[in-house]
Amino acid sequence: MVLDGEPEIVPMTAETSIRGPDRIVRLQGDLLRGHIAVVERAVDEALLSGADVLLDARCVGRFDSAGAELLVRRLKAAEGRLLLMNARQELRAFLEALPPPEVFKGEMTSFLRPAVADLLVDTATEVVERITDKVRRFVVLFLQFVYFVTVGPFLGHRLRLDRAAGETIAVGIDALPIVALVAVLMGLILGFQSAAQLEKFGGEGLYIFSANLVGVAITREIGPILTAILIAGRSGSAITAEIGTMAVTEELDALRVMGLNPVSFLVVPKILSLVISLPCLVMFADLVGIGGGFITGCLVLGVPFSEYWAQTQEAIHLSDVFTGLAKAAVFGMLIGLTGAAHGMMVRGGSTDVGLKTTSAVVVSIALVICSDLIFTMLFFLGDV
Amino acid sequence: MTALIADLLRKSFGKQPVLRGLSFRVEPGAFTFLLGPSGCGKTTALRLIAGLEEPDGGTITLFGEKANDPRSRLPPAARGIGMVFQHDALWPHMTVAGHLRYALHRRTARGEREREARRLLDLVRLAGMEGRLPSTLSGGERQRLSLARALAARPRLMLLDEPTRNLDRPLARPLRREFARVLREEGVAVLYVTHDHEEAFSLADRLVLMDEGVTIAEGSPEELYLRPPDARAARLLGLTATVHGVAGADGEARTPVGAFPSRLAPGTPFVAFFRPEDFQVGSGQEGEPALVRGSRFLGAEREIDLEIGGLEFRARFSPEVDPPPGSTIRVVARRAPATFEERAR
Repeated sequence: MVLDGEPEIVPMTAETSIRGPDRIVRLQGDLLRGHIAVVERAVDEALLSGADVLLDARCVGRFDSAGAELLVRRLKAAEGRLLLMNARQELRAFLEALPPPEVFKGEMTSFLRPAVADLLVDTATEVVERITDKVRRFVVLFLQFVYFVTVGPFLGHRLRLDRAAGETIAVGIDALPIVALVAVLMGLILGFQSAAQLEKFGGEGLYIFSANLVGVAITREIGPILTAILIAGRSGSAITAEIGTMAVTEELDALRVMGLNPVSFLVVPKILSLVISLPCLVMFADLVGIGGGFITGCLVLGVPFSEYWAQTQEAIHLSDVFTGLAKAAVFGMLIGLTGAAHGMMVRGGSTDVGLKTTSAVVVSIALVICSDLIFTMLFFLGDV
Repeated sequence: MTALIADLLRKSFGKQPVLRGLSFRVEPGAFTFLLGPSGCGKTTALRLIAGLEEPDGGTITLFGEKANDPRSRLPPAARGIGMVFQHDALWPHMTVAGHLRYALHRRTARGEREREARRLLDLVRLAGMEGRLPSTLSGGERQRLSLARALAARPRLMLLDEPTRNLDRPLARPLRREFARVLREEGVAVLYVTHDHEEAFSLADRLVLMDEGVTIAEGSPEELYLRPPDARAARLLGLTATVHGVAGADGEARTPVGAFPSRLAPGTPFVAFFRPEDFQVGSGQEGEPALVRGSRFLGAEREIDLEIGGLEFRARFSPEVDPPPGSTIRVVARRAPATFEERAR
């Protein structure tokens, strides 16, 4: 490495000697752009002898990028007949960035082709590294989100509630029709299915209990899960696509260069909007879903409305509703984090935006279902 | 004080090394161009300097301060840099004025923001477009807004990443001149990344030639074009009109298109690298017969694909020279080659 104020340049000398079947070329001096011809001449002469040539770099002083680069090109061009040895750590670290590693002798290990087992290990390592990297990014983003929502506002990082409010309205209102449609259909289906099962145990007299089954299933499980899946497909994917496109068009970099943190500026409002809007949508889905059950119970199965309504009130506890809403808030955060993390992982071009968007939806849904299981187990064990 | 010293920068993505020891300097107030083929690591170098990526090794010193010290890494916004990106990187929902307001927010006192925004809009000739969204601006206007936004942060070093790459050539040329005018008026040091020789030669005070992640050569555009240090630099600069030859007893480089003084050892076979415009048609029996492979009319000149001794190269002649493909013309070199590369005997 050549730095200002260093002593004078030491000219390069190359001395060739014979050791067994090999020729050894000992380099002494600075490996700089202007000195490479000396090295090349000595190497050419040694290679002409037909022997393998060992290039001894123990006494190489300073080096510059052009000198080292030209040296490595010669090593590679010699196709294994020219090997480097005794290079000091700094030079080695520099050269190691240049594949292949066969240019080293002694200090480096294998000249053999990698075995199949090695390839499998490499592939497995790569997959594990990729997953670890994803998890790490997800956790870092979660911690950043927590920081910007809790501590950040007191340390000068503005919490952009105005943007979060805007996003909440957009996410919530736009999703109402599809949430309503799916929820009412689920209510209808659950009504029919529960009636079919109840009939086996006691005939039509038990139809009234479909109110219990529909009400509890919708409020505790079906409402939160279905709404979360719909929002993962709709808003989670939109978050990945938007942030991913911003990454491709360097808008995120422009924010960073100007001192605006993309997480605080973009991601936090989006996650907050999902944490707020998803419970609201779940509450709406609960009402519409129970309405669907009512249509089946009262209009199709003939249960009187007043009885159905009273049975529903008796079956559903406030804790059922709150359980569903708490789950929805966590699902919202998971969907937002997954969407944003995937968006920020986009590299390259628009193809990667598509791939990451698909991946974000799949991962979001998987995370929602896994976390739902954890919730259910906790509530079951805690007898909530 | 030197604006930027990049010393042996290294960066890999996965197992793929991109920068393998890049070193260069940018002096204050100077236009330094990082010139190299696509994929050689120019944009990565710029991103490391801007602090958008961390180098695996090497140091970045900005105005005397080490920017990538692991103990006190300078964030992008604290590096005193502005950046204009390949894509204009404008925010689609924000107006022209909105972009400048955001950019001025950090470095300019509240009372001065309006005046500074007006000055920047005048400087890049966007006055009167304050309320427009990026989607309603032309490609050139968008890049000028991108430049104004970068200048609003009052940078001491401006990084430009091929800002005219996505523009048509007739639009790109005036925009480059416009950028140069604005940046010289503002007096900032400039590091401009491009793969376009014309762009680099026309604006650079200093050229850093890079390939495969390392510095190949540095110097003024004239210096490098007329006297490239080696064959690799010559190839990268487009001096690819190559002719074989052998050095005479007196070291004279003898080629089919002429003999030239050289420092080659007697009897050394070599390849001479000429510039495309170094040739002329020989008069009478003067010069070496060259087989014409094809030609293209370029307006002010004609580019002809020639073959001498099995080596093909492109040479440029006046447009009146128009030999049919398959014919031979006699060519001589009207000046010495840019450089020589020794060949194996």
